[in-house]
Amino acid sequence: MNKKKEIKQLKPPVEVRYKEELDILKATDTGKKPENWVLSPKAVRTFILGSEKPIEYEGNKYSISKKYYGNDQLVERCIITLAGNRGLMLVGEPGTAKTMLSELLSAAISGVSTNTIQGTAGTTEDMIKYSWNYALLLAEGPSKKALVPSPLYTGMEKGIITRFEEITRTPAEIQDSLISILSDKILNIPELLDDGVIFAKPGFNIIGTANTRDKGVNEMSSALKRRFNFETVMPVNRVSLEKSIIINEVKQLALESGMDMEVDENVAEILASTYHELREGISSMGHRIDRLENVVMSTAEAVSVYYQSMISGYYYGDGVITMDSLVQNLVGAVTKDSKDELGKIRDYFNTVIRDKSEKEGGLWSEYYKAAKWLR
Amino acid sequence: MERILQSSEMAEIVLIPVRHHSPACSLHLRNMIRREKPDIILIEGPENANELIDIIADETTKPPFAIYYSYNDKKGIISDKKNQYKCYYPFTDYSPEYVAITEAYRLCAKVNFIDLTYADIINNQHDGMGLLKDDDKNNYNDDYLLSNNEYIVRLCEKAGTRNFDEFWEKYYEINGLIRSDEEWFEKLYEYCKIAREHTLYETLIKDGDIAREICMAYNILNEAVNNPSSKIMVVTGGMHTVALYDRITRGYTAAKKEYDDIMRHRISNDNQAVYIIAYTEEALASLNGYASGMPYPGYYEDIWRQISLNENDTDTENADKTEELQLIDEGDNAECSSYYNSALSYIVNIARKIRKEDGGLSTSDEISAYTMATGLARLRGKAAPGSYEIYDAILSCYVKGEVTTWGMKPLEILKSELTGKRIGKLGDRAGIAPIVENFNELCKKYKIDITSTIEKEKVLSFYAKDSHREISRFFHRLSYLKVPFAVMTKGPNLQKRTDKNLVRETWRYKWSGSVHAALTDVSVYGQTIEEAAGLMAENELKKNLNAKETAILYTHVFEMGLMRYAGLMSDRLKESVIKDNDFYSLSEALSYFEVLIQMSSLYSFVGDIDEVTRVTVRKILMVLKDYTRIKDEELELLMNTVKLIYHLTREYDSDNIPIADIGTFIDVLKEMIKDTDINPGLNGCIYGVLYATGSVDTDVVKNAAFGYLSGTREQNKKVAAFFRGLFFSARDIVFADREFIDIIDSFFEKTQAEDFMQLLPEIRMAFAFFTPLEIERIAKTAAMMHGKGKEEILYEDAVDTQVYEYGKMIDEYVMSESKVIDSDR
Repeated sequence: MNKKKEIKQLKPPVEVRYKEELDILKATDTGKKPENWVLSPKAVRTFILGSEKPIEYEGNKYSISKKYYGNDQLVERCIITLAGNRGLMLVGEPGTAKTMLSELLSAAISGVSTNTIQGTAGTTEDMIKYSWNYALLLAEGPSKKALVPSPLYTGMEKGIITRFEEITRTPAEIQDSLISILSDKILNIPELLDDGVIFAKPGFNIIGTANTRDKGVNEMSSALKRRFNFETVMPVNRVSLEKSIIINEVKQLALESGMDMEVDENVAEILASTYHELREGISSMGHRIDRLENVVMSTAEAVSVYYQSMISGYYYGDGVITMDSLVQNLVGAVTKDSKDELGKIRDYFNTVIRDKSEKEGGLWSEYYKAAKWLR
Repeated sequence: MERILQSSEMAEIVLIPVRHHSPACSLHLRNMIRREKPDIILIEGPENANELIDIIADETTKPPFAIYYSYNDKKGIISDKKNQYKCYYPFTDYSPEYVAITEAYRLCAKVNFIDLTYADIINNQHDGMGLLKDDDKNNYNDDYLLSNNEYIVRLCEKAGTRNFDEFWEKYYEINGLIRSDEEWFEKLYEYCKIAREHTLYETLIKDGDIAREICMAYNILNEAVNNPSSKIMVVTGGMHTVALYDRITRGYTAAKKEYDDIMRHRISNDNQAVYIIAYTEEALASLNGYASGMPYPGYYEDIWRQISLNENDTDTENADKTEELQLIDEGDNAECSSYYNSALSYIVNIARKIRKEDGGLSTSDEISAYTMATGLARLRGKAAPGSYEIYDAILSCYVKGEVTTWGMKPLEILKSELTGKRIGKLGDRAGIAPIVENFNELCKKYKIDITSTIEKEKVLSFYAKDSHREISRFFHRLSYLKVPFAVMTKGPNLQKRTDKNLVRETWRYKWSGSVHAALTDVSVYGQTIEEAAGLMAENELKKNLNAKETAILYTHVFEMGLMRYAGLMSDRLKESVIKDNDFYSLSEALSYFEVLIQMSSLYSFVGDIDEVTRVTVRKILMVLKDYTRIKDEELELLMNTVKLIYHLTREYDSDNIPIADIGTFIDVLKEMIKDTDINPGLNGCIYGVLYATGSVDTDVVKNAAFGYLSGTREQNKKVAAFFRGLFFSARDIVFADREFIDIIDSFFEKTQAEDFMQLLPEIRMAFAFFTPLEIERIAKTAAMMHGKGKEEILYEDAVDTQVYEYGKMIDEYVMSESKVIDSDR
């Protein structure tokens, strides 16, 4: 009873969600740690990519779950980048788990993933560096007490990671205020006179995320680019992997929202193969498929489609997920980006899904019948 | 590693498992040989190359090189197709087999290859397996079974490596340098044992491995029995070592029985050849398909040079060099300093190359990349950074932005650097294939200089002089055989059907070591260049070619002057034309036939293609009438076909019978113009041909043009296309009847400015068929119709210099931008 009451956050941060795993890794970590890191690079890797063997701690064996699927080498490169003096920039299509990866890295390295700047078209330099509590400023003049620190300021002061989400949504000139900080690791506050220099403590670094495909993004200056190591996060390229991600993520979401409902692996497979095939332009049976050009076909979207269908089944249905609601939610996900692309989905159902329903029968046939919702 | 101890009947045998092309393996093997000092070293390799061992060990022979084996299956033993077969056995400085041979010579030990001959190997393999794989370049030492099964996939997943090559590099190359020799070979032996257990016996049979192992086991035991007081070291691929141990322990008698069984089907050496050829690291890399051998020969060559220098530190000169190379002090992992040095030098070199092309990298990027490579090595449990860490470092630190848009360049440079550009060298003692001798003789006869590597030029009046025609054929044959010696820079191109008016060919030629290698490569096809080119063309004919492809092949045979294939070519051409029902392929083929008919006397080529041309025309005419409503992009081909058939109605064979029948042709054309939706360009072209043949007069043609002119707006716009077609086939009609110019004039008057601009390209195309003098004549008539002189409409005021400069600048900008886009693709 008490346990249920504890779940009050809609989406607990990574360090809360995986507290137990982080604690075990911290206690058993024997590797060398860069200064101010909570875990050693090897333990950070284990936290994100999971452990091959269970870890023994206080007489019990614990398995560390794999949290990021896709490219293990990319995660390793990210860890090494963050141990150096360059920022890490994760770029790629929307919905490729860039944010999740940056949260996992921050939580494992600094123990906190919430020290975050959200980049928008309205982000100003104050939000990146520092601003003032004007009442105190007027009353006492410029002082550290009157200063309102930004996440970047906090990161430098405490020696922890600062995450900068959607950096390319911020105007280019605002982005450039990071240049001197990344180079010199110093933040100047001229108003504080002699006290006005903040030196970044070891452990400080920046993880930026940016997507280059969306509308309304700004180009980064080459000066800023030079101060980051870039990592391109690609969409998941295997159906089986995409299926596992859908299952794991939906399970977690259901748990967090208190829904007592099992994830149907067959439905997850159908959804994973639909997203995979529409993204790749070819079906597992060899059909050539028109790619959706203006629709985000990410794994995150697939998770969302499944989860929405699950909610319908849980609250309005018989506690099972139906193909009708799955297709309805798929239509919703596609039409929010571009109504014109629905025709391509219809063609996909009339060729690929039709043939699969003939060959496989069962759930695939139900899926094909649900094509009536593609209006 | 397995050891079979000496007995009263038999020598001591040390079985050493190796992986082909592995620096660590070569290093440990060299140490073992120096320590064990064997009297005999037996190496996995076809035994018919034994005579080349002397040349391989010669100091003037420098890797990379390859043993080239060929077999011409004239008797159809391998298959009824009586094909020619060839394969390569490449050697690098860091090939354990090469190290074994050179070390054996140092010790004055006997050294031999012990495998079946090449022909016997393929005779024991199933179709599509082993060296009978449908591959242009088959590799003798392809150890794909070592790296390609479910067990290994799972092993790589568990070890956190992305593929077998990374697994191997981590555990056997880098970390393997820290192990003792015995420990290293034990680990490899264990690994090979497991890999073998996970390979189906059926696969081993189909791959011919079992037969080869029977032969190798017998050869080893034979040596052991004949030299009981010796120590024998056997160097074979790890997968074979496992099986050889079992076979050897079963004893000589059992081995001989199995060997004799195999030898019953032995193929004689008559049609087999074996040569040594110089190789390049690029070719070596391309030979390494998926998981067959180590990738990146250039990189591992660098590693080998450093580790072999480190090991030879007793030699003063080498010790100095070693000191120079000890750029990095990596504490505990001193054995791996070569990997640290290489990581640094690759990172720096690639940055330098990127800077040259783009200029966007700083020293800080290089520092960051090196930190990344070494950091990753530690994180991944590697004793030093290897090629995968260098790759990751370049990807992370040199690629600024998304990989998909910008990043390919640094990675491309890296790949090329890792592959390497070294070329092997052969000493004077390396024998040459008869085809190479033939090449040398012909070069002498034609006074073609092959004594220097400077590029030279030869201009050949091949129509006028017989000797020049011979040289032209020689060059064409070499080009067809893909021997990188001569390139035609000017002259008629029969394949593209361009420059047919040229009476001279200009060739640029340059001798290099790769010419001999390429000639040896095709030596399986014949002993002379003419024979090889002929057989290669004949093989090509065996493929399922359509009419167009066969016609193109015929043009090659024609240029090469391969007279004795003319009869065979004509028969095959006829077959392919009869089988081919594709209108477009037939039309294209017809255009080649016309070229060949026109030029056969000029090329002094006697070949009968009149009959096949006649059949092609008949087939085209049967379906031509259905091709009226064609798309604009098909117009060119259709107009060419119609005009071509018209020309062929006026070509006669030796019996004075026209190649194409004019009556049938005109009937088809008349049928076509009855279709009111016919493409206007094609319609114009057909009217032109009908006018030229006298089937219609100018009034009929004018009426057809009027039809468009007086039609609705969209129909009206088709006049331009109609004239394009008409002028294509009968431009003289304009001068036969002045009213055509009146029609064009009224068309221009009637057309609105917007439509005119849209039609301008088509109109320009229509007038492109006229000569400058004819244009002037038309202009004069048109000007007179409006009361002006021709000068007033033909010439415009000169363009202002500034405007011209500005235009030129825009032009250059567009050109440079499109080059960037092209190179990005």
